[in-house]
Amino acid sequence: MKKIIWIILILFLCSACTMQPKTQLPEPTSEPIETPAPTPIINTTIPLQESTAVDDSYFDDVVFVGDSRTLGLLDFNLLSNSTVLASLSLSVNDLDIKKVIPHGTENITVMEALKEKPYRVIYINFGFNELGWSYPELFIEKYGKIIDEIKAIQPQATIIISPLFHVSKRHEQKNVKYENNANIDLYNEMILNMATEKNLLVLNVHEVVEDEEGYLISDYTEDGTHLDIHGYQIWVEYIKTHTMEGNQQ
Amino acid sequence: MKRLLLALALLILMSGCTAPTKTINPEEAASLILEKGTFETTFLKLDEDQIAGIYPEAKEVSDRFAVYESDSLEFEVIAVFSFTDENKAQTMLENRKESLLREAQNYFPEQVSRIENALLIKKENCLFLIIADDTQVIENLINDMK
Repeated sequence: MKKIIWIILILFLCSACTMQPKTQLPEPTSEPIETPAPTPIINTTIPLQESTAVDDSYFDDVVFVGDSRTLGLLDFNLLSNSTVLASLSLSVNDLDIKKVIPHGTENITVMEALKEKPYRVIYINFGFNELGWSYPELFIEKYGKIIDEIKAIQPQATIIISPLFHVSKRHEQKNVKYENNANIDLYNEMILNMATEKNLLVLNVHEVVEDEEGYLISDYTEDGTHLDIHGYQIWVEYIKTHTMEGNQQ
Repeated sequence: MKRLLLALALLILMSGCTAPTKTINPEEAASLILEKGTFETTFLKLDEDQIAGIYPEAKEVSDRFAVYESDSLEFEVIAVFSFTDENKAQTMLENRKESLLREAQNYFPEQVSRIENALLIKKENCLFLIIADDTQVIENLINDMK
């Protein structure tokens, strides 16, 4: 009998000492997290075609939402009657976090600013700062959510989305990680697929800022990734001649 | 009988083997850092959706977490993750640091050194990513956490 008690006690002790703490790591998995391949483009989206140029009053109730690639509209004082809700370094994750839009004596977020007044047309342009994300599919998921939120805030507005224009040949030759045209193409596929799903109009501004090899034209950029004043002037002319109203005529 | 008593004594002594590991509550730890640390800007406590956008693997590698991000263009972060998979959690935080570093290099070179000197450390059940000018005070604070 004593032997049995001894055996039970020893077993109990052994089991106590091998009990695992709550923070024990689960078995590591050797399977890498795979990024799903982008789904093929089903491009039923309507790219805006060339139309009769509108005058500046067209932009009275237009807002541009974006990152540093949109900010130049403010920096170069172009389309000054439009609203520009943009900032350096902004990503789709930041729109309800970063208070980067001046509002009286304080700053507010882009999403807060969009609630301030109704707009007729919303141009939206994101993706460049997200090129290095570990999971590109999360970018498009978040971008889609943002579009849905903007639609809810501005149900009367037409949303026009821009795929990313490429970087310059010189920039690409620097081998900058992520900021290359192959990666931009991957993101553009996702952007165009999302535009199709959500019936958004598409502004293919890259048509006029890229050369025949698909590089951002060096005359339109200083740093190889952003437009300079000449590039923005080309962009503005493109917008004026590719409007929703013009396409409906 | 003596043997039985001896066994019982052993049992009591070895019960230390099952003592719970010290655990840090990420919410409390992040609040303490926010309160005691020195920062340039104001912070926003991120909700789960916002955290999932920035730390996509958060729920896969951690059972509790708290994240505060600067609400301006100052790169300051308080992120505390109670990990369930330490290696993956570490990688996730390194990815976040790298992503912020890249943004700073592109747009805010004056903030690059702050990110390069970020605190990324483990204490008990938690991994901490702290981006601030003065991380020494915060590191001491974390080391004193029980």
